[in-house]
Amino acid sequence: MTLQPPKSNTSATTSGCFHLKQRNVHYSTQHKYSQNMEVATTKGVLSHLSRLEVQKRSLKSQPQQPGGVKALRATVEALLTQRDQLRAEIQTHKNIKKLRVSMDKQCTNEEEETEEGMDEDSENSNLLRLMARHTQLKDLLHAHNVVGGYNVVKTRQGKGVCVSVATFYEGVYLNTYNLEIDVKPTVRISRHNVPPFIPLNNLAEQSNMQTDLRTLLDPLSQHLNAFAGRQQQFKFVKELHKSVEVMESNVLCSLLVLKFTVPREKTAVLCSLDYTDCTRSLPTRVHFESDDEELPESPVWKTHCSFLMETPVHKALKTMRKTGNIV
Amino acid sequence: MCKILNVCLFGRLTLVVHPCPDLHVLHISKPSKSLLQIILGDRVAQPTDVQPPHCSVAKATLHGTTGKMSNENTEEAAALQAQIEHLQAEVSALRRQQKDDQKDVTFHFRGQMQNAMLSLCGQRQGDEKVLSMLMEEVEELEEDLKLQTQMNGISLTGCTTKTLQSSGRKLVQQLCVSGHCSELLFQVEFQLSEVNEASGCVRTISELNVVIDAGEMQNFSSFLSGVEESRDLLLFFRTLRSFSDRCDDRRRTFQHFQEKYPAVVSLPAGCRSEVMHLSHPELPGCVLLVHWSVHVSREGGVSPKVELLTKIPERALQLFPSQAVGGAAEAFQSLLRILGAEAALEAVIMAVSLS
Repeated sequence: MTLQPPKSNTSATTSGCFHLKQRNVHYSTQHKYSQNMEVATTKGVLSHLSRLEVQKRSLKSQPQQPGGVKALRATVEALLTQRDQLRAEIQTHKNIKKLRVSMDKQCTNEEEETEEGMDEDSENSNLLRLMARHTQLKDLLHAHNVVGGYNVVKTRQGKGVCVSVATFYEGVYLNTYNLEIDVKPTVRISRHNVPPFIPLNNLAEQSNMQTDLRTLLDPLSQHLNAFAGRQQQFKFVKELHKSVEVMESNVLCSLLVLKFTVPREKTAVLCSLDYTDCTRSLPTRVHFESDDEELPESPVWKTHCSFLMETPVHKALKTMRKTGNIV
Repeated sequence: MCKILNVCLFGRLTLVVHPCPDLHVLHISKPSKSLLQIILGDRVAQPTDVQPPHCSVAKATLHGTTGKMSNENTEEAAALQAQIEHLQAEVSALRRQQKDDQKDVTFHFRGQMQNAMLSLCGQRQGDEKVLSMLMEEVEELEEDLKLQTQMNGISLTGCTTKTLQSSGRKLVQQLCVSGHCSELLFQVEFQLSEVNEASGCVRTISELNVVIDAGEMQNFSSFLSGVEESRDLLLFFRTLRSFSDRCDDRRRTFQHFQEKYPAVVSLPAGCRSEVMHLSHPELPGCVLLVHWSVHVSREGGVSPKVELLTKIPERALQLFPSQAVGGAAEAFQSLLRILGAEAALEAVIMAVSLS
């Protein structure tokens, strides 16, 4: 019977245990065949093999053949490259940050340009400078957006522009309204999402938008922000002051009628706030009505009146409730 | 054959041979292949007989007593392993540091900036191309900045950001923005939070601090305290621009009149001042002062106020008892309401020049 060497269909790195086992099997079957033959010698082979197997198992897993050492060396090389790359990137980061700080100082103090140790006009220092300038420009553009800039974008190869008007109230950025404006042949608003109760067409007519777009955008921003302010105030009144009943309000938020309850006498006071100046978020007129005809004329309520004229309504209500003047 | 087997089990050659008439070599370690051929003499080992150098062989040579080469391998392997672990720890630490560096959005590089970074750090792929592509992008940004500056009416010269908190959902930055609006210098500092909520990204401002040119402080003081309290950063800039526009109106008007009526009009404090002097060259003691102030309300409403003040010696007033001179101030206000600032001023100037 011919013994074939066990075919290796596994990779070279397979644990030798498996193959040793296979061979053990072979040998034990072969052992049966050779029982009548030099048994002592066969036993020697077998015992050596099993000793090797035991040793293998007791060793920690380490690729220790010459091929294994090569693999280790390669891993070390790769890690060294990685480490050096990371070190270089971090150092470059530091350099750019440093350059940026000195650039910022130059811009605000208008100092003379100082070559801080970068005297060589090497390509590297040029690239670093360029990168620092890139970060500076990005920051400045971000700042323009954050402080409420119009984010103007040129469209259709200069034939149009897109602008956005940001609204903001009490520290929170609210809705943004966008306009698409044709620039050629004349300056004309083509599309927008400004609500209809904002007099956009009037503002456009009164402006000088053919020569200066800002003469339209600034008043528009004023209107939109005042509206956003009023809208937020009305929202806060509904949310924070449930004891005060909102009798009437409108979409433009130019009118608010509230019903107060005076604590002790439980009388109802109707408070009308007119916001006829749409560029402002404070009322132009505050009026009280009550069954008790003397109440609106009393000094306390006169102060309430002027208070509501000068303070955003939700804040005024908070104070009025705290001081116990209304429920 | 078996005797040969016994001999060969020692030394570098590990040879396991089955004591069977059809001899097959089951293991050979490479260096000893030639030795084997010599031993087997009458039977040359076929390539098919030979197992590739195997782990099993390796395990056999691991055995401490078998050979010098295996010892060296062990030592080198152990040293390399230790080095690998050390390097892995170093690389992890560096990666953590880099991640920390990149928390600052300004210095988290993408696109052309990322290419430039890689080019600088040794992965040299077409240096010139990287430089020129970055240059192109920087030029685009410069153009964009010019456009925003022109459209927004303010010139920002500096913006420094410091990232205070950066997690998946929330970003908090401290910004310091400085610049000027026409000739008015300003510096604002604030905290900007961006939180990703279900309804979208919510941006808020807190801790607003505003500083403007000392010269204009008296105009702005009540407005500024109100704005800092309500954190209305955008109102500040709208108002600043409005104020600047009105000041520019004044400057243009004053300059225009000074050029047109040089004999009568003088601007002792310069064209940016609030005051314009009108006097006839032959009556130097009699001066009409135009006081054009731009008032800023607490709410941010900008309103110009033009007043006419007379500086006429008592003796001259006594000579002209009529109200025409004494009541000039009120008269001017009516004129202002009817004609507007420029026309009213022109009328006064014409009157003063006695033409």
